[in-house]
Amino acid sequence: MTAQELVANAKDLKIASQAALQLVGLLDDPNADNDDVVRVLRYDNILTAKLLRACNSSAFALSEPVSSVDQAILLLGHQQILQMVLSLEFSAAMTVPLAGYATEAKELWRHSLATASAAELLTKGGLNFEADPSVAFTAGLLHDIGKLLMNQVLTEDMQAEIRGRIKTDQLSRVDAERAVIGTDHAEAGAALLETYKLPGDIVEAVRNHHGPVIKPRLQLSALIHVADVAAHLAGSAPGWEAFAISVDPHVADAFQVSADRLQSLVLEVRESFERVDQLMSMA
Amino acid sequence: MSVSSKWVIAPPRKTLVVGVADMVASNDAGAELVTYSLGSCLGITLYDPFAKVGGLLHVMLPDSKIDSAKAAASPAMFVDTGVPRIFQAVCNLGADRRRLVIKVAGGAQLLDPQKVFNIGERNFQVFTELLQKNGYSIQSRDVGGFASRTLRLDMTNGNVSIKSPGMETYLI
Repeated sequence: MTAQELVANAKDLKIASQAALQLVGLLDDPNADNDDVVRVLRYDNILTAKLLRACNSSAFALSEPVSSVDQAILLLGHQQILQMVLSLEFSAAMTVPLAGYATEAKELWRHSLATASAAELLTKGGLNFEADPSVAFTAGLLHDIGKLLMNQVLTEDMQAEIRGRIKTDQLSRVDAERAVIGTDHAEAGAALLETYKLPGDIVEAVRNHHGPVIKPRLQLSALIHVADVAAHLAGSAPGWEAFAISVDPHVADAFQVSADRLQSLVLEVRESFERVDQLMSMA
Repeated sequence: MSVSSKWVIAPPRKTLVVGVADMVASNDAGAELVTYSLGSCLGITLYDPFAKVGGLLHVMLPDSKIDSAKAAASPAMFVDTGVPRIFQAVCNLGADRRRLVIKVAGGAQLLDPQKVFNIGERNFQVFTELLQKNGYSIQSRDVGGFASRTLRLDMTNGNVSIKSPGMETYLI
């Protein structure tokens, strides 16, 4: 089965509202500003209400209540608002149990948030890679979205076969998926996001997050690869055989990650993930 | 007069959840200590079967030297600062160091031939070195592999059970 067939045959897959997809699209537009964000949100009352409730939660401890999107952007900044909106939107689609991966309802979402905050951290961590923090955050949030598609076709027999390949051949989970099904959750996720016409670098990051592109120059997938690994090491590793992930042999050098730097990074990821998690539970 | 066992209702079991970078020591024989989603982290249990005192520690990283401020604020984050504290905590509740049964689980490993990202392996290495230096040995362990684990310590008898996603529960 190909990734495209998987997308075409997907049943009842409602990933996010039109507004959220438009906001992701804005990430690609260098001329987009606060007004564009306000314009998109204006047509989605429910989303606006959710956003304002989150802004007024105790996590932000604002001195005055926020009553409009303009005011929220002014007080918290356009990046923070964008991340909150995307988190609010995608949490519903991704807070589902996945029998095919033996994950409970909240686990995929928590892992997505952990990877998103790790990715954002990496853009600020003095690593030799330039990326927009919001683009990195969004790519982290969506990197495993293909698991929603894979879950629809992963029968118990297939799962057993995939686990068998991991154990006997020491395959990574994604390689074992490809061997048994013909495609994998990374390809499936990218194919899905392509149908939504999301920005190309986000699609690239989702497609290659287990096979990062480092040469001729680093791509966003390399950053998401490291963010995913850091999220696993920071205590967010959902599903069976969760550590059967091949770490790219060149990625540590490319990002100048030493053993000590890695520990600090994992610590930072843990802290930022706990903050985001707390924020989201209040929203 | 004896009462038929069918009429004996056990009191509800108290479950004490140990988070990441956290520890609990207890002398409540009716309790169960549990920690979820041990990946590369280690879950370390100590149990004195005579005093029925035990403890569970969930450490994330091997070495506190990377961040001494963090280590001071939450010592259970690191193997080298967390382990002495859980020993101290169970002894404060009346456990005898010489009777302590030590078990450990977790330390999952990524497929990483370069071994830069092998935090799970180093967690276990630092833990075993620390025990050896102080003359302790591990009674049983379930370390490494690709699976994340949920660990439970039954304070009635010191049994330690492990559950991984999609797998049956087993004792170690």
